Amino acid sequence: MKTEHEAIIQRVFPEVLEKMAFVFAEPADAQVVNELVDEKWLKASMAFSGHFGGELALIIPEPLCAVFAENMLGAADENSPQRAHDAFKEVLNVTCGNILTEVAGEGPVFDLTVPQVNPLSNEDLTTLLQGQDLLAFIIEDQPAFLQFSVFS
Amino acid sequence: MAINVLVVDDSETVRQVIAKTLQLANLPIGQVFMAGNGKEALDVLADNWVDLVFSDINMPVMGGIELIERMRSDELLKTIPVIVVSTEGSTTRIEELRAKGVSAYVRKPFTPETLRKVVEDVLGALKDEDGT
Repeated sequence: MKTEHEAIIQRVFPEVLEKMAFVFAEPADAQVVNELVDEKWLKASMAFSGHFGGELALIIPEPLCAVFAENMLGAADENSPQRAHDAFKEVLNVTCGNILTEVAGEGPVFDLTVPQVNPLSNEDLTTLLQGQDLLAFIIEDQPAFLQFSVFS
Repeated sequence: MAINVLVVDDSETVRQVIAKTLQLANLPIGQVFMAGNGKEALDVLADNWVDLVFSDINMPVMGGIELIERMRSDELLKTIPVIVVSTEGSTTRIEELRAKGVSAYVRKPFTPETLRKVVEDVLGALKDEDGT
C-alpha cells in the first residue's frame, strides 16, 4: 500500500467510525493485533471502479457488528444478526466512499459494488494477515483490519 | 406544520438511521414513510402526501436517478424536493444529480445538524419560490 494511502486511511477510517457509529478507532501495530486472534471473524468487502479500480475490505470480530448496529440504531434487543450485518456493510460503504474521495480528489466518479459479508475461518484470517495492503486498528478494545487494494 | 418524509434506500439500517437522525435534528417531522427502491417509492407517493424525499442512488429494481426522472415527469410529483443521501464525494456526480432536478445532496456520514440545515434550506427555498 502506498504510504500516502496509508496515512489517508488511518485518518479517514476513525473519523467515519466516530461520526456514524460513535466508536473510537486507533491505528495499531499488526503484530500486537495478531495475538488477539481467537474470535469468530467477519469480512465485509466491496469493489470500486472508475478513475482506478480495486477493493476495500474490513475484517472484524463478529461482536463488533452488534456494537455498530446498537450505536447506529439504538434498541440493542431488536437488532437481529441481519441488522448487525447490515450496519457492518454500511460502515464499509461509507468508509469506501470517503477514502476514495480523499485519495482521488472530488472530481473523479467511482462505481461501487454492494458490500458483501462473509465469515472468516482462523485459517483464512491467518493467510490474510500475512498479505499486503492491510492496516490494523483497535476499535473499542477489539482488533480490526482494513485492506485497501488498488488493481489498476 | 409537520413535514411528511419518504426515505428511500435498499438498506433497512440506512433508512432507520436517516429516520432517527431526522428526529434528533429537532425538525417538525410528521409521518416517515419507507421504501426499499424507486418502484416502492413511487407506490408510496401514489397513496400518500409527502413533502420531502430522501433517496439513495444505487438500489436494485429501480435506482434513485430513475426515481427522480419519473417524479420530474409527473405533474403531481414534480415539485416534491428530493435530497440525495450517498457516500459519493464526486463533484462531477453531484452536478449531474443537480441537473436532473435534485434539490440537495448529503454526504455520509452526516450529523443531525447537517440534515436540519439541508431540510431548512430546501424547504426555505420552496417557500421563497411560492412567495409565502
